Amino acid sequence: MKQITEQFIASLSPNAAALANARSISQKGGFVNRHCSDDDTFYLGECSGSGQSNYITSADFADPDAAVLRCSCPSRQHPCKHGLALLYEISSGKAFSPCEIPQDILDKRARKEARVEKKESTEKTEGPPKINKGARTKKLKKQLEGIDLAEKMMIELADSGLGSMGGSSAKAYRDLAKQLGDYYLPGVQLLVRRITLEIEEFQNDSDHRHYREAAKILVHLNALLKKARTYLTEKLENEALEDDNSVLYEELGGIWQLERLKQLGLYKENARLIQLSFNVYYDAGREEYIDLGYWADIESGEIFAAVNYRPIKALKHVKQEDTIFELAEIPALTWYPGGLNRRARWEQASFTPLTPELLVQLRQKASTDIATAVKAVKNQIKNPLEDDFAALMVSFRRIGKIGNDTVLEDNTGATIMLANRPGVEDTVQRISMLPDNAMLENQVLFGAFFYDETTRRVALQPYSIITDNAILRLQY
Amino acid sequence: MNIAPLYELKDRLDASLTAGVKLMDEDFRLKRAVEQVQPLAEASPVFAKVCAMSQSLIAPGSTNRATTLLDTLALVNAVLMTQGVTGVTGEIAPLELGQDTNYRQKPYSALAPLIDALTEKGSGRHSIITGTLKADPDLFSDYRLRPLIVNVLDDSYWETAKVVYAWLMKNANRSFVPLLKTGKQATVFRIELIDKLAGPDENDYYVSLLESTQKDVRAAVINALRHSPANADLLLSMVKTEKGNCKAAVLGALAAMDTPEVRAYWSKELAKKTKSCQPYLWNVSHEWLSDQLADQLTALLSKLHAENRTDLSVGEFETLSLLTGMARGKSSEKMLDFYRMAATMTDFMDPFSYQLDNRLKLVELPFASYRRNLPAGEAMQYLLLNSLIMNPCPALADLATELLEKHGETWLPAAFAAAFISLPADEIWNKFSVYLGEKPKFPVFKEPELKKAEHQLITILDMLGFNPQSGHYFLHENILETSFEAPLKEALDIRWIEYIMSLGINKKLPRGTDKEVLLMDLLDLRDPQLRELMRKYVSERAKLKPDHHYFDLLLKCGQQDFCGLLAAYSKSNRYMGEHFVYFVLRALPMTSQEAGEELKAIIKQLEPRWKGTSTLKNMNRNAEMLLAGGSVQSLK
Repeated sequence: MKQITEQFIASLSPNAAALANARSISQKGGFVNRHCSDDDTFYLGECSGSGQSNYITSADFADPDAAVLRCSCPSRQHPCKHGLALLYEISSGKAFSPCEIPQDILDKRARKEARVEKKESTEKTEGPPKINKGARTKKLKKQLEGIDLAEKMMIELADSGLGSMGGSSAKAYRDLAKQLGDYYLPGVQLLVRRITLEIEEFQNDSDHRHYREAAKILVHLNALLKKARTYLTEKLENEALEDDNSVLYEELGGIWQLERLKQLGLYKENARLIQLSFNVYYDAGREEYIDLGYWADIESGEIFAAVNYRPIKALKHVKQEDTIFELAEIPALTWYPGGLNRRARWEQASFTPLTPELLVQLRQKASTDIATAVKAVKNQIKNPLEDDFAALMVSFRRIGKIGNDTVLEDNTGATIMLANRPGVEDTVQRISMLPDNAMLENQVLFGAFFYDETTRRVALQPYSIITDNAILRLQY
Repeated sequence: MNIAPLYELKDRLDASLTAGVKLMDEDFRLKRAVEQVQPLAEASPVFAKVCAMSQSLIAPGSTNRATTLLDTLALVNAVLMTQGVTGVTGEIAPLELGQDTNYRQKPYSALAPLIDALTEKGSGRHSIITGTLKADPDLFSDYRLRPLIVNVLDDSYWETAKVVYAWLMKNANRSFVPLLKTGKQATVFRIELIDKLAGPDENDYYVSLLESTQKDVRAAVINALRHSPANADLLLSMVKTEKGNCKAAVLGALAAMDTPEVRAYWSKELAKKTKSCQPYLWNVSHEWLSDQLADQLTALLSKLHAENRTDLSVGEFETLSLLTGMARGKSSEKMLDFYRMAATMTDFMDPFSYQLDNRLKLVELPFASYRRNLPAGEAMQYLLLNSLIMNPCPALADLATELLEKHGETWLPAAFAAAFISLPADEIWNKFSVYLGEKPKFPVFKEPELKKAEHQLITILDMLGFNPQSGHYFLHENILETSFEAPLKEALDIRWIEYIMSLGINKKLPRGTDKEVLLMDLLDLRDPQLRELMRKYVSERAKLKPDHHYFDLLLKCGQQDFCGLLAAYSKSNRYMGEHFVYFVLRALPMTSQEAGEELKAIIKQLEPRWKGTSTLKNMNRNAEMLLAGGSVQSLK
């Protein structure tokens, strides 16, 4: 019988509801028949559902790291709850009677193998796909036109002031943001949309914080337009039409292909990552839910951000990421250009339990003092095109209170205030809800360093505490 | 180096961006900020650059002001970020951590449905919250969800807020108090929870709320003031100024206090306005109050006895009723003496009840013993019974035993209840089983009537209950719409349950007593002996009088053989539905063959009713499927 963990099932689930439903089906004895092939690569179940006849559900483990779940139910969700429930049946060790692998499954396996072989042979013989120079040149020119338009808008806005951007004017800027979509500049478009959103929120709650935020975005937009104009003009003049190792590519709204990242060397084989924290939040500007997980490379100690965007309009069809408590072994890890928390992506991963040895190894990668971490963070946040925070690990001697402030003290005796980043769930309060004082002494804290405008100091928002035995999550 | 001018410059630049570059020429505050920043130019090249850029911004005839403004702002932001301080000065004190907090390695996906239900406003969240509380209550203890849970107290859907309130009342600890204080505004739920969790420790907070709260919230705040004796003067002054619910809360808070000023206030009120004191003083147990009530009761009874007068006026009866109402649960020496005196005067008191005004009653009676014209003398023993359940103290228990011994069976119910509270199970059986009637030695058509004493014992047995969560037996009674429970000293002797089972089906029991409900209330499923006893009893009963409630009970008692039971039930319940049949069959531990045969037997019973319908066809098909070895779980 195959050994399947709950983590593995969760990693396949498109959302939390599917997982909960699957668990419920399995617990309530929804499967009336269960079969398994002799070679342990194919499982078949007959599951009673709301339909007249039972659903036929199967799990194909021809590729052990990429299980294929199939079901005869009419759900458009993939994998459906019945497929996941079959995995629960396997993981809970229920009895499966032996069966032959059906011919249609064997045919599907053969077709999949043929597709993989064809792809590999095409890559070998033809190399990476060639770019269409004409189309790229046309796109770059169009982007430069868009930059002119955005700059004009930005100057008009600064001239007349953010305060003038009410009612019909805000609508005009929203329309302009839409128009920027025609110029292949989704990044710029997003910034304009964010400015209009801040102003709209000010109109709702009259909080001047929104003007400060809008000003910050306008400064960001100015810096982006300036650098993007130089960057795109140079590319056009030098006919360097391929995507290169620059943060501007993504800032302008480009979407990286994993193959291209590999070609640029932003790639590592057999990476081993541990998730340090996970959270889900809604980005009104993008109109998307964002699943954000921070992962530490156990060898290098680098902290990667794994970001999964789920547009509101396609929420049901995009898989939600989840908390992972195990070590992820990733055959091919790629990452984007960027600062301290580069965005990482991977297509396949296998999971093994975290051991105390791994946690000790992880803790050794933490910054030993606050000063070093803060120096690196300041270097990043002063650049308006980079994130205004960076998530890092830091060893600490203790966490306690000075007056009303929660404070972390490192091993050199230096201190930093623990505070919450604006708009992020309160995690500082959660520290005082921890069950054991031992978690607040001589441990490693993972969190986001940021500049807190209200206190005019660099502060740290705790995300998790890494002990010798566990990663205690203050987020999820 | 003092970089305050740089902060001022940033604020002015932000303001210029909000007001518009076009108005910059008139912005004298920006000009002043630019001037103030100039001395910093010598400190470093980057400061010099800031100074130069800000100068060019306000220079007359400057072009590209908008982009210059944005560039300057970007540079100032960068400088301020790099200048941001890190260290915090002062001595670090340890954090006070919450108690009993729970951390489980639960993935986001497991918490997400609950997080959504706790944070969003759409429909369906109430069922998710209640469902989680039922299926996985531990999730509620996850410290990451605490702020969200507390916020639901302000939910516009009251039912949801109430569910969370009830959970917090039961499970929250002191560490929730800061969260409860952080809401947009104080609410009744929040105040009541803080009141329960922090008591007098948050007295300053309650006092601070008096200025800003009104109506029910104010009443809850006033109620919380009862914890601190220092609030006595404040509350006494509020008696004169508050109205309605708030005044009631003031009096309630004063009733809970025991200071000389408060005692003086109540003594005066009790003597003058007994009726208005009753709602506040009936459920508090101050020694001085017990003494004063005993004095007043003794004086009233002595006076009536001295005058040999039983025809009480309505006013006198009302006073007697109010005083006995407030005497419940009181156990001072003087009160015990009052009971002793009343026990000698029961014959004299009995006629009092014939003057009984329907609206007035001397005591809360067990439902089973309810009689419209309960003699007042006998009512005294129910007063003692009420007191024992409200305040199960040794003094009252000993008194009940003493009164039984001295004055006979009139005091049997109170003494029997007192025995449960104070004696070992075995001793109770030995002492009180003598009051039970003898079982007939041969079958009789009509069982003998219960003796009065036996009737009284069954009345008390009917007041017993078992709490499966705590695993304890208790005596319970509702008094003035408040439920009181007194724990039993030991688990109930199984012989009492055997005795109840032995009562014949047609035996006339005390009014409102249902033999099977009584047995269910006393069932401790963890006790294998009791489980087996119950299983045998219910399986016999099920054969005689099939009832669907028995299926679940038999399952709980470990019954394995259910063959014929559902078919027997269908015989007496011809309107039983198809889905009910499947539901029960799926729940019972039957093989496919047994279930198939049971279904066939049911079809035979119900065939005349379902003749020619698709239901019958479906049931026949399912019976065949089961007999062919199909799974019982696939029945639908």
